[in-house]
Amino acid sequence: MLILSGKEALQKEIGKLDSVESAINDYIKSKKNYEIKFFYYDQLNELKINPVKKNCRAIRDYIQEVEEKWGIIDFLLFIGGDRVVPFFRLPNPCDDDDIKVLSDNPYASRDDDFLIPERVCARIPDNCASDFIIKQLNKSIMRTKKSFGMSAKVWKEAAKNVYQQIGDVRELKISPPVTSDSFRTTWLQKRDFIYFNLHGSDISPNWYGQDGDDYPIALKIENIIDASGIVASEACYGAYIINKSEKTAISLKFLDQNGVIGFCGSTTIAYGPPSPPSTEADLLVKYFFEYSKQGVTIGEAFKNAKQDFARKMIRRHGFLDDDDQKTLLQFVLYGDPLMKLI
Amino acid sequence: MVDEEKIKQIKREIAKRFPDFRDVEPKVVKKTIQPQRGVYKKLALEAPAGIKRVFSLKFKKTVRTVDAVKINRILVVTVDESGEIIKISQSR
Repeated sequence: MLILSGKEALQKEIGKLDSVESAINDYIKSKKNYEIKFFYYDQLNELKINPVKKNCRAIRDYIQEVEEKWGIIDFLLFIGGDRVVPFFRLPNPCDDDDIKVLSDNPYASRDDDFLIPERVCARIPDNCASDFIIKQLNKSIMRTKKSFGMSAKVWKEAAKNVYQQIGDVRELKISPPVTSDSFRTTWLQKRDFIYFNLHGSDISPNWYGQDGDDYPIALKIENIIDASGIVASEACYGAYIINKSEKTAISLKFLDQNGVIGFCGSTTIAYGPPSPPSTEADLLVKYFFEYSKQGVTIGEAFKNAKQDFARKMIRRHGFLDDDDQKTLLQFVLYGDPLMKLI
Repeated sequence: MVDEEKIKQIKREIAKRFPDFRDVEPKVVKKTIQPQRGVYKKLALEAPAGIKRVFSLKFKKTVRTVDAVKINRILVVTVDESGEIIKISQSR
């Protein structure tokens, strides 16, 4: 695994780097079954690769060069958010309000066909705090065989089709009637999986339910206390973190929980079916849960989910349409990709 | 071929299934999908068939949540050359 960050950029975000570097070194020592290197892309390293500037294409080339000199990189882990290791801004395959799609897919791909990842790529956002990064490197989880799921009422049947992979569909919370006001914090505690099929926005920290023209707040940041498990959300902008913190982004609030080992979500407007069969975000998350449940690392589960998703849609329709392509590009994984349920 | 009558029929069906999009006029786009050879190769699938043509009907409207946040709601209907609906998607 290659752990990659930018020294200058990370320093700007979190200040002194000593504690994070120390935590990364401890992390590397603790992962005895993996060969791991930690590089700053803007510093000379042991492979004598020339440093590059904070530019996504230059960083991608840097990774390719590391791979040429060191050998196949199966896992990539970025330390830092967009201001440290920039997301790629890719053309939006869909005709919607997103001008570009923020994506980590090109980093996960060895060729210029970015839709299908060949390596695991995850990132630990910095959240402007060294403690936040260190926390992500020291997490663990024990299987509880309990899950939580919540869906907008209009997508109840579609959500059941996803949630059945991880829990009893009768326990799936539906919004409305459930709203953030009636949300119990205990629902998120001691879980293996946490699933959301709700509306999201890039300007609001809340996620929303829907019944006809009624869009109540289904989940707000204050609802998340002592949560644990692997979290996946289909909400539009569910993983949008630019200029956000744990006070303004549910994704970062989840990652700030000691028990949450990973967050899978979308950086932009996401799509899904109104009813089964699962397509787009529903199908991707369904596969992510399936693999995670089998006990593979969340990084592999995420990569495999994208590959299986593409395969399934091609078998169904013979091609990947605009929505499928956007789904593949927009979903990102936050957290330590080597984490798994044990 | 998807003609005007077929589009009207799809609009009626959408209005029935999704009443919140009843008064929304869709944007109809004809799309030509080239064989995605790179994707097929990476997934170790057999070579793709030739060019495919589909139509997409995009229904779009803006709604307000209970806390006054504006959200764009998008419903996309994908139709094959014979006019059959092959997929319906909604923004999350």
